[in-house]
Amino acid sequence: MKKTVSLLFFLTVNFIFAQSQSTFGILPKVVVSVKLPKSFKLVNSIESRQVFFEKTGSDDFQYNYDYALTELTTLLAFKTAANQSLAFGYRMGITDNKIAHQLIQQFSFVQRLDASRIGHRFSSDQTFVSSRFALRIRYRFTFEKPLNGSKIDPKEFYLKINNEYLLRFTNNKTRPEIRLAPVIGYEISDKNKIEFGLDYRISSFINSDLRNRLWLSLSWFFSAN
Amino acid sequence: MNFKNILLLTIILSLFSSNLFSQNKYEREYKIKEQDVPNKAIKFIDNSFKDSKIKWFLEHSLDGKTFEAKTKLNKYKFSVEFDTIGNVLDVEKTMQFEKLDAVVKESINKSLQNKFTSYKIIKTQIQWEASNSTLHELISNNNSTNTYSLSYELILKAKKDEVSNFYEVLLDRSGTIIDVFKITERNTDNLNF
Repeated sequence: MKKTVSLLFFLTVNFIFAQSQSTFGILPKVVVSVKLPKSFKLVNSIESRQVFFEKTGSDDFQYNYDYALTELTTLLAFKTAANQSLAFGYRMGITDNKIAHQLIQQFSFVQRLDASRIGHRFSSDQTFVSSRFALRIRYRFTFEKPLNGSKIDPKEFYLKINNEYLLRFTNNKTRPEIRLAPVIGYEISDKNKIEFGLDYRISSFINSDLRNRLWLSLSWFFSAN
Repeated sequence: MNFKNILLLTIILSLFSSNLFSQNKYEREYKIKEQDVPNKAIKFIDNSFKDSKIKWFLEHSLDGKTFEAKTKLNKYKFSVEFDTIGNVLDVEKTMQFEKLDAVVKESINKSLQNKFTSYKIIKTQIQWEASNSTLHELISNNNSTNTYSLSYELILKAKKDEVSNFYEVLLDRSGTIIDVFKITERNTDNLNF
């Protein structure tokens, strides 16, 4: 059974990477939040995407460094219940020659289980770049579990898995995307944690222009108060 | 220095700043192996939970060190706490609130209605303190003719003064509130953003 699963996994991965455009890079991210009065919170983040290797079709991966994008995000979040929040905000995406403006709306809630937590995030965003417009709707499921004991304590490691489904609508095209991001986190303190792992994104898999992106992600979450 | 270097330097400096590694800890739990647990505790668990899979934990808190066994019996979750030489401190059984005695449920609901504007019970635990033989009986039958101490520990999502929070509420066997603790939720930024 294990051999069959491994073989299927190998063949699937091989097929995906052989047939498509693929990139590999790094994805550093810093998220800083500040609690405001009356259950409000300001969340600022900066994320950059840097591509190191890429390949097209059956070619081999080639080293081709590209500082692809920097994203600056500001969200104003409001706690609607003990475990639920609404957030609205703005993101600026900066590439070499363009600036994309994005409006964001999201609703999220967290379920507490005995030893783990599950986060659900429903969001939509509207991107304006030059004269073009795109709408995305997204759902993200996050599972978080301590690697020791039955709860995550400061100075302990944990496992976190994100799985997100996106649909991007433009004038003439709808592009689906699926993301899977398993990471190892380290809780420095309750207000300060770092996460390191992979972030795999597959898109346009319904059309023929299949696109794979694999990132090494490093995220730092810091709460100022 | 370009933007990328500034970003990298900020991350490195912040991670190594002593402020970020400050101690702020009251309770900590470690998963441990059975061989690290006092024999007396193992014996109690073996007698009470035959054929059940046991997970052992060591807990450090301001009150000292305790051992904890977590297991399942007849689909119910149990947690048994021991002192450092293996004496049982208490047994907790997780069950559905709906399965509690009707009179107790009514009394608990009345107590909670007086304390909170609205509430939802997330978790219900019965806590027993008694001699080992009585605890064996309670674990097996949920009842005993011997004397024992019984209390209820509830986790609630509740609204008070227009603010919604999670609370831990401790009640005695008649459903009267003994203590209420506000649960400080772990930061959820990494799940939401």
